Amino acid sequence: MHRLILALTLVAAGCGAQRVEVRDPARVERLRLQITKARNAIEETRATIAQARGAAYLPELYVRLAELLGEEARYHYQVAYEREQRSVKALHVPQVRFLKEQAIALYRQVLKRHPETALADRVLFNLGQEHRELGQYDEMRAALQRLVDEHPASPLRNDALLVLGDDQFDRSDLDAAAEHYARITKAPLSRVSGLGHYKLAWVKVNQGQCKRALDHFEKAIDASNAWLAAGGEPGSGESAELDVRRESLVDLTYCYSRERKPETAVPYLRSKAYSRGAYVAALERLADRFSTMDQAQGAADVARELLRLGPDGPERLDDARLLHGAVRKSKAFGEVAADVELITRAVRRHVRRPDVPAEQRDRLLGEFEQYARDLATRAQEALTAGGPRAPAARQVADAYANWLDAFPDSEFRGEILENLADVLAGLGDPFEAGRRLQAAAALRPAEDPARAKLLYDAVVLLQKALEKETGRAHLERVVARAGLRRAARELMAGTLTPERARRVRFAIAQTYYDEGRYRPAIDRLTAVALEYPNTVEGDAAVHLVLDSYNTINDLLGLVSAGRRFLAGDSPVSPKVKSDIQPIVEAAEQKQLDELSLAAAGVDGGDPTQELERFAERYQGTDLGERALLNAFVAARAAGDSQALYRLADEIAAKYPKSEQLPGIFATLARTAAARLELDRAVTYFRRAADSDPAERVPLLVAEGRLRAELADDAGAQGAFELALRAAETPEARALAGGALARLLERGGQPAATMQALQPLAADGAPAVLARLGLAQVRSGQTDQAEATMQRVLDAGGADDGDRARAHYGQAEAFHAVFAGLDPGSDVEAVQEVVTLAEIAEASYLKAAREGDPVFGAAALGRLATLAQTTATKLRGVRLAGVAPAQAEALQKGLQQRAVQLEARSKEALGACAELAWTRQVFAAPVRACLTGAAPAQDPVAFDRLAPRSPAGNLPQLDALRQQVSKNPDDHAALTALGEGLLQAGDAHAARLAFARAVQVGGGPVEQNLLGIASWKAGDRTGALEAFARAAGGGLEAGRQNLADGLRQVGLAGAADEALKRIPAGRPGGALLSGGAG
Amino acid sequence: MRRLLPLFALLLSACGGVRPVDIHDPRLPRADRLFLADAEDAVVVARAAVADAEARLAEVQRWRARIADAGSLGAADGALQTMAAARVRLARLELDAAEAHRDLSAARLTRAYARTAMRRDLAVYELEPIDQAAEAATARAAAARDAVDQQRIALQEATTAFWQAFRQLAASGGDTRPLWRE
Repeated sequence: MHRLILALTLVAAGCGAQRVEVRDPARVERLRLQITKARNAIEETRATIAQARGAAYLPELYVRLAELLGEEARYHYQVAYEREQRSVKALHVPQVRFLKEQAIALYRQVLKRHPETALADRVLFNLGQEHRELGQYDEMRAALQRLVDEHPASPLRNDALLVLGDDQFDRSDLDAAAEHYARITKAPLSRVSGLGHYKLAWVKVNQGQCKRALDHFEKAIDASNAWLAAGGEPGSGESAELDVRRESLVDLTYCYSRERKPETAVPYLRSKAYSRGAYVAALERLADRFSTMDQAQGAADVARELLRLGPDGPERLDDARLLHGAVRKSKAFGEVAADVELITRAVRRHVRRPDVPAEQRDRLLGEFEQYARDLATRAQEALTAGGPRAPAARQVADAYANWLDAFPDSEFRGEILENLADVLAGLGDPFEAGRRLQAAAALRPAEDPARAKLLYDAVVLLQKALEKETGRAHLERVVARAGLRRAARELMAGTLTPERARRVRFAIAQTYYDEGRYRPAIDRLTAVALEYPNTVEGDAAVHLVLDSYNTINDLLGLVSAGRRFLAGDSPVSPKVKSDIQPIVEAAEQKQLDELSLAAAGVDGGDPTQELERFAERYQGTDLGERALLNAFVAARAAGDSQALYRLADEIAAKYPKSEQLPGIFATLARTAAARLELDRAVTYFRRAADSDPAERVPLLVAEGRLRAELADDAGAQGAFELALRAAETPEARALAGGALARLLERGGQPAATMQALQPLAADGAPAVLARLGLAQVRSGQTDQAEATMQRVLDAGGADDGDRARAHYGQAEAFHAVFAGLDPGSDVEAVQEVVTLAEIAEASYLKAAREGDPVFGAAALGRLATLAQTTATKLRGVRLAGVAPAQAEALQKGLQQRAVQLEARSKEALGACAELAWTRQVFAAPVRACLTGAAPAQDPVAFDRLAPRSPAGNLPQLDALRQQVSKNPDDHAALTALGEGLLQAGDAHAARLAFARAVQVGGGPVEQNLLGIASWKAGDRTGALEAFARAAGGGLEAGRQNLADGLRQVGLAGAADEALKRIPAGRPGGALLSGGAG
Repeated sequence: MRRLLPLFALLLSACGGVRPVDIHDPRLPRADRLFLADAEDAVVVARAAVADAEARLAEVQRWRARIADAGSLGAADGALQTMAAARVRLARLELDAAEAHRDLSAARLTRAYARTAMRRDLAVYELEPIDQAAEAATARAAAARDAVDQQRIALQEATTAFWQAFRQLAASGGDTRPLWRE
């Protein structure tokens, strides 16, 4: 509101009162004022002079008065000059003459009356000036010469010389003038030293000595700089109005252009210029000079500098014109970018001025557009032509770019864009080139065929730009891709030649690949590969498809795509097929590895399913085999036995020559055995043995052992004999032979045993020899038996059982001989009997000490028999041929010995029977001892297992088998499995289940069940021992079963003993008779 | 703390009655805390995977729509539509698998919380139904994965059929431009 009021007030004021304009006073008015002041001063000075008679300062007053008169005279002259509009310098002004003559008179008066005054030099200088201004040149010369001669140290001396020199110069006496100026320059540095050099320079210029003139111009600048640097004041009077440095700089340009190289001019002037203004002034003079000389190189340099530094004005346009002409003439396009920039900037700055009419603006823009375009296109021509003077491509490109910025609406824009694109392409900048071509295309109408060509070229260039993976900013790649797709889409909307269509499509596809959008890239690249096979683009597309799949880790996709390309009817070239074949195969391998890894994962599901599908896809190949093997391993890790069996059969059927088959069958055999699928285990052991020669012997032995446990002695023997036939080393024969020997020993057929084992005796395996020796003893071949047993004892590697057998066998051999001896009445015969008995006894004791439960018990039992027999023999001895007293003593001794032996017999028998209660041993020898009678014959015998009733598959037990498969130490599952087998009637398998359950930590219940299964399987010894352990663990059922079992084997007394010795246990457990305990 | 609230809410929603156990609870040994943290991470990762699968499904559906609007490929149209349908179906199944895996991770987390709480006397839970839920989720996730694997194979078959048809179209001079228009 306030502002509005103020504005209104101002407007009102403007409309109302009359304005008074205040102007500066006119020059004449100022001069008149000066004249008045001068006159006043003159009056005052005269008055002072009048009162200063005889004063020491009187000369000074006179000088002052004269100067004032001269000053007034100058003012009068200037008034007249102004009146003449400054048109004429030679004027007739009476006041001037009058006043000056008065001044001259005063000066003379001072010189005459006061010749010694200190102002004499000043007086002479002023006198000379006044004469000069009056045109009295002779008088002037006289006065100034007198000054120079009489006052060499005067500060005005140089000024006087300057005036004298100028006088001579004006009269064209250049030598004389030079002499005067030279005296100034040779004098110590003064205010006019620079000016002196300057004047001298002009003398030399007029004498045509440009070199020397140039030298003096430089010295003029240097002297002036030195004077100012030393703190000197600038000149007064004429020299004050003349800036020597500036004028020297400007005026030396003429001689410079004649004496020096034009390309050094600009740096030279720059180095000499003390201000921008002086520099620009000198450049302008030099520009004119070079223009006159038609010196293109120099003109270009100067014009550039002026365009850079010069103030805005119409002169810059001339400079721009000069620059264009010079560059064009010199064909030096090395700075064409900057030149175009300077030219366009000059015109743009000019046309922006508000006082420039529109039509002039348009005209100027048109003119200078032409200049700029001319330079840029000529530069490009020079670039294309090549040669030492060819400009850099970057220069040409920048020149075009500058033009484009300056003239956005020009009709030539499209052509320039195309030119620029050519240059950029040659420069190796396809990105920018492509973008420029796109811009050029956009300027053309849609129906113009050139537009399509431009778009196509743009596509090619942008595609090239994307080929380099590094060295491009992300934004550029984004722009390039978008631009390419835009151009390509427009092209594809029209008609393209097949070749161009191929290139364009591939380029589009490549942009997706470049962008990392692999799925869309794959679709398009596949289309190119299939539509344009056996071309550069088609072949490259194949590789890019596979690479895309690899990048996103889609192995299935890679393999599928690869197989499509490799198919027989695929149009892909054979060369590309051979290139990608290993890639696809490697991917398949990797795919299998990943599937195998996934199969071992923890996320549930069927781990083998995918591997089996994979195997099906690659059936008949190494990959298919490997997939099945990996599936087998995965199934084993997961504990999936059904899958294990199925896969094993599948591998055997489809890949019968697989090197892994032996391992597979061996694995299956052990797995089946662990699951207590014993018939299956037997089968797989045989299959494993048949497929693996290296492991045939141990595998057949394992089969045989299992068959023996299943009461298939014939099958076991067959397996052991096969193993023997396959055994090629002593160790292998020992393994197979030992197993066969154990089996035959249990069979209790000495003749068959000897027949089978005799051929193996040469190997010296202790297990074989021990059992062969026992068979020989039992067959009555005591001598051979003794030798065989001795071999066992002498051999290294015999275990406790083998040694126990050896000692026992030897003892039996001795016992057999002993039994046939009758001491009669012969003392020596008695001794022989006793000695043999002792040897046999010692062997029995050695056998017992080896710790074998069966042969240890047998040895004790037979020892009891031996002792009893010996006692009986001794009691029956009636000695003859000995003195009675001696005979009586001997008889008495024999009786005592018999008593000892009878005691020992009881002791041994008791120890044998005691094994049942202390070590739960109920083998046949112990059972014999438990009868209370020492065994008259070899009591060693092994239970023959009853024929087996195989239970079949029993699917209801699969879950338990699975549990046991996963955890072989799960005794609860083992127990349950055993109970199931027992219930199904397969006591032999149940026995093995319970035995493992006991082994992994089962207690009395499991022991009791083991006993029941063993009893039903015919293993009396095992059953009674298990019952004893169960009873010892506190289970009442075990106690009852033990007693029951003992009674059933005819040891009622032992049964009662068992019930007496073993306290009643806790309830629970099954009874042998059925029911629960 | 405020930033952790969404995570707690997420975890609570996964627990079905079992209270989450704080992994910073000083009563827990380090091994338990690491175990729980891993289980929690698994849930978060699984949810992110679901979001990714949803985005992929949407993208495939958009692509299918674009293909439909781009024009006819003549004799290859049928095969193209079959392939497109197979792609969409695969994306759906992948989403299902991701969701099943997310649910599995949540069930495992619940089980981890319950067992840890029981083990360290922090709470008492009936473990059997929790274990059963985890087993059921495991089975569902496995089934979903199998479905995805099957569909991948089916997609490759459809893709092969489409490219065969496309090749024939191109060889006979048919217009293949619609493939480039989308």
